[in-house]
Amino acid sequence: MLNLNNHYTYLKKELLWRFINFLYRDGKRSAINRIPYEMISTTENSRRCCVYKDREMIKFRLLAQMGYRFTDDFDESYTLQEYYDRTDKTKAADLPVLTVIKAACSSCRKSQYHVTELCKGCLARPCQSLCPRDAMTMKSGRAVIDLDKCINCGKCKTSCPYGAIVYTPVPCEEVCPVGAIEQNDGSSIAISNEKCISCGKCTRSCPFGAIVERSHILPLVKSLKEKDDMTLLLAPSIVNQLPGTMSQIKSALSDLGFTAIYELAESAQIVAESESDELLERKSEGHSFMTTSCCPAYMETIEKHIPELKPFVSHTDSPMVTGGKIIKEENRHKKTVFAGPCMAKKVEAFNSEYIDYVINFEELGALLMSREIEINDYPHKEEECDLTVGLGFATSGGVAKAVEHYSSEPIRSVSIDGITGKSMNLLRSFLKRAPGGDLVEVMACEGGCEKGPCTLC
Amino acid sequence: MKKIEIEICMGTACFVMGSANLMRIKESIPLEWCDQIEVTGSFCCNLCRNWKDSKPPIVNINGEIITGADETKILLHLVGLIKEGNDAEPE
Repeated sequence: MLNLNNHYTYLKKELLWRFINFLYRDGKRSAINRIPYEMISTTENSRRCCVYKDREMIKFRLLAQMGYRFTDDFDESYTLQEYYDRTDKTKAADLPVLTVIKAACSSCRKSQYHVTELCKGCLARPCQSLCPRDAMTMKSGRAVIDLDKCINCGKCKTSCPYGAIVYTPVPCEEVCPVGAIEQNDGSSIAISNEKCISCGKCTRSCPFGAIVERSHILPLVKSLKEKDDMTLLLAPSIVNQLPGTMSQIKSALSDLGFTAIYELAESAQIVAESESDELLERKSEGHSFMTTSCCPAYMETIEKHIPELKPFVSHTDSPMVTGGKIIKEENRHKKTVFAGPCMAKKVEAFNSEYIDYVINFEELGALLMSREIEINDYPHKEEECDLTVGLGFATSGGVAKAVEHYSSEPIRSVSIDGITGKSMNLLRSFLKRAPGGDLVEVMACEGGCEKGPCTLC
Repeated sequence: MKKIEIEICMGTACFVMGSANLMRIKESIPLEWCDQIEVTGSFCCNLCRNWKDSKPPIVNINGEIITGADETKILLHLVGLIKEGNDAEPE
């Protein structure tokens, strides 16, 4: 995956900030048409073929912020203002979460090994003798790979003493754990909705930023402006994502216009307690193991790729849904907004009646920037209750630790740190051979939520 | 020799736009430079209000303001300062 601070992530946050500024400013609606021009000036060096394409891509990114999905028959002939006027500003975007900006996609050619001009056509030719498919031939004194025969094993690359053979991946395809990226007739990639688990790894790996998330920011800002009674459900992974202490962050977020801030570390503790009871109950019923259920990308993986494992997944709701339930049961007219580092949470929220909007930390940061809220200016207050156990949910291994914390009996746990092709095979193998523990904690992102696709640092 | 002071703004805007990661700048500079520089965080310097001329994150190196700062910009600046320091120092 790409590093966290690159030109694309900067542009993404700047665009969000400008868009939110536009939404708050009750001026001319046509101002939205100017955003691409404000961001990309003619004097600037273009990142693509020309500034005009750069601007057009900004337009598409803005449309994704409004919740648009770029289907094959998407009509791109309107202006930004026309789209803005046509958008239903009260409704959060539906599924799928991700959409591809076709014109931004660089249409990477199929992952392949390639012999560069560094090849000397040597005498020993280890590449030729080691190739299991006889795909290496010599043409005008240089090795050439026959792509019809090549199976991408990489033996030629490791054997070449000159480092003359390179591997060019398709970055999104490389990180997708479920093979959901399909090469679309050589023009751009497409995401298979039947396979996609909305983990968001592709969005963080595409160097062209061609895969984007459909945002809920439009209805959220509308609700904030209209001072709706709204509770912000804050994921435990917020720690370190913003400056200041937790109490300062909470005061600052209240000033954005939320009526209440609910720390999901609190409901996470309820979840951990319930999962520890559930685990003991299942063990007494003879089940060999149970897996956690709080990671929505993992739940999608189970649903779409390993349904055989369903009986072993905990029935306890995630901290987000548990928290949303608490708020809505108190007053069902209250709106609930989840803020976290996760894209798959949008799928979970879509299927739950307890969550209205989902926003990510980048959007939350841009909101604070736009309202010029300085977190460090708020006084620090001592926390009333200790949520250390619940805050652990943000880190790989933390959920298992929390469940152990509440369990009356000792628990052995296994942690699956990141969903990959390999770890999915491991999960499947548990059906035949039970894992070396009672509790299997699964996190789709390596390192846990705090390393999710929409984190700030 | 006087240390080079790198002051990184930790105000909301600068933090969100990437200054938190700049605090770890020492991890990506040559080891022998590390004892010549001092990295500190600061409260909002109010320069980010107008993105036109000063984009966040904002970093202050020995009194000189760097806007839209990233690792590369800081490193380039440091190279200049350290070279200057070395030239000024008598053999």
